[in-house]
Amino acid sequence: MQDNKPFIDLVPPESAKGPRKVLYDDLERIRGAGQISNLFRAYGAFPELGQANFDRLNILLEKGTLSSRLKEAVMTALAVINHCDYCVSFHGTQMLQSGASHEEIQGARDFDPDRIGLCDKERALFEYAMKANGDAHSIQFSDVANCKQLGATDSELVEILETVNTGNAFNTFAGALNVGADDFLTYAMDEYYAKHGRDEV
Amino acid sequence: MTSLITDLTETVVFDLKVNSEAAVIVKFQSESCVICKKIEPFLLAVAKQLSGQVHLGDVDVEKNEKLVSRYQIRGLPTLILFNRGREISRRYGFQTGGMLRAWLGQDLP
Repeated sequence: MQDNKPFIDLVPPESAKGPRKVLYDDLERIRGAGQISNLFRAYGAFPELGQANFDRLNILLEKGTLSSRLKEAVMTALAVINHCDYCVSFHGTQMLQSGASHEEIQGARDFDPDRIGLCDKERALFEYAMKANGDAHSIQFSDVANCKQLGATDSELVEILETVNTGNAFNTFAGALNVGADDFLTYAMDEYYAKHGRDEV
Repeated sequence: MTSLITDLTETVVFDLKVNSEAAVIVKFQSESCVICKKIEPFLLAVAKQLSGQVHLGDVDVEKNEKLVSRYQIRGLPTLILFNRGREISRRYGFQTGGMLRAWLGQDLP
């Protein structure tokens, strides 16, 4: 079982001051009371970067035209690839909230776009995202043309690639700082606790 | 390498495994090949989904030139699908889950 102690101080909301408190307040305003994730508590060590990344995440999730299910499925798959158990639970929870079933989440965990409940365009973009993550320089014009033939726009190609970037960045952050899962997550927490124990941050 | 992927770098072990199974995917790789590692979760997921129909193995090309020469390995990773010692088909470079499923859907004995 891995040690659960994070490698930096995750300041609780009641002790937050200054720019860190501004960041926490913004998280609760947008996500709801008690929804300050451990990832963003870690970002609180550099609140300006935390704010910039939260703004970027909100643009990705709220301003794009691709479905939440697709973007969360990509981030769930990336979490599996990056061995980020926290991120699997986080994005699995987000998939549940977007209406996905446990079987569809498992489809994302198995890198199988045919089992996630996606339309043809989204299935192609899921594959494009996996290929971009695995070996971006192996992508050919035909890969992009295939997505476009199914209706993907230039904006959506940028949106899915930014989903890959964001997922990987957060996975790296959570892993390298040993940030544990949030107590408000609902997906695969038994699996998470079996690996990491319950004495969380 | 995970325990679900058998190390087939030794020629004797390779021949025994590849000749005895109906379907084995062998990944020719090296320790320094980043893409070789990135493909691994996809191979494992697809093999798990096929529940025992296909076995996975890998060969470190830096430790067995004989197998590299025998199978004319030109780049990494190279995946070869074998049926009882006979090469069915091969794929080169990074493969997504969808690409692997399409390949095996077409060529798995």
